[in-house]
Amino acid sequence: MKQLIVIALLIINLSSCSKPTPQTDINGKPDTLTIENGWVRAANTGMMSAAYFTIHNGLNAADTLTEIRSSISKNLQIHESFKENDGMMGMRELQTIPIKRKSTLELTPGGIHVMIIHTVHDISDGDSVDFILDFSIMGEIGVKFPVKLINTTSEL
Amino acid sequence: MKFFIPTLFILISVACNQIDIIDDLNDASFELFTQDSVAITFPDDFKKKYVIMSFIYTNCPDICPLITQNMIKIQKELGNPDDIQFLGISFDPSRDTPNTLKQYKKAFKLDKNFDFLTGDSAVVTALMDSLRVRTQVSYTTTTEAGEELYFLSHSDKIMVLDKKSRVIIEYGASQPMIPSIIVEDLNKIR
Repeated sequence: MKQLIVIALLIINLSSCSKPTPQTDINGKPDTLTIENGWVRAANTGMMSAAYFTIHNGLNAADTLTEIRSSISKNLQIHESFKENDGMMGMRELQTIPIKRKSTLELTPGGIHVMIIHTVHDISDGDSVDFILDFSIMGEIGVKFPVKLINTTSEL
Repeated sequence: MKFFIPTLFILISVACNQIDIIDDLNDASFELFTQDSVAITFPDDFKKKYVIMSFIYTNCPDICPLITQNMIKIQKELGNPDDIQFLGISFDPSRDTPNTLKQYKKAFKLDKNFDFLTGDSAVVTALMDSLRVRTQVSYTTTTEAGEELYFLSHSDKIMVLDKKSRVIIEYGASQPMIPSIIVEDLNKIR
């Protein structure tokens, strides 16, 4: 009897450890938070670079990107480029990025981006860079983005 | 009447292809340096060529690479022509030394007809004033290593000079449709 109880407890424990299979919403998107279309601009050591990606929040709650880390630089900041009233192009820091429930947010050149200050080594076409994205609800999500000289995912 | 219609056609054609002169830099002279530390006189050293130029600083992580990317697209769409010189002129000369610009050019894998220019701060300021390119420190931050960094708000311009150093085309530089518009304009007048 004791053995049965131990086995039953083990089964319960194992099943609680396994990740639930994501459901899909009516548009076929996973009912979770996913990162897609990520890429990083090529740069030589010590230069500025930027990372761009799409966040799809399929959750039933809003989530917030609070921090991003990478070995490519200790100094990553979330910024937004914008056109000022007088036509000048400016940039402002965003402390966090909120993503509404069941919505998609694109980080694109000329808009919201992750500023990578002074890359610690050269990154060029064909390389990839690892990032940890920290969300309020989803927690840490590890991603690997390819390095591109020019964004080939959109026609610029 | 026999000559009226062809004459009218020619007149309309000429009118349609008329070049508006936005600025004339023919009498201007600015001593600058390329990314290879070669001294040049702008715009004199580029006469006999069209010049497509934009204004950038290398500490700009987003808009300036977008501008450079548009310049690259124009060069590619025109088939890397020898009669067009591409210039990226830095408005942040204290940080954008020739060597920094050399690294920037290397990262973008650019060829011989694409140069970056910098120079003495006073000369660069005078050049930017003459071209109505404005900059302003908009944001500062301190890195983990304690280094203070500043970022600039800046004009978003791309200009084309004709072979007489006259500004004949000027648009916003970072917009996605700009390369095709400039290629179309240039193909009409070249």
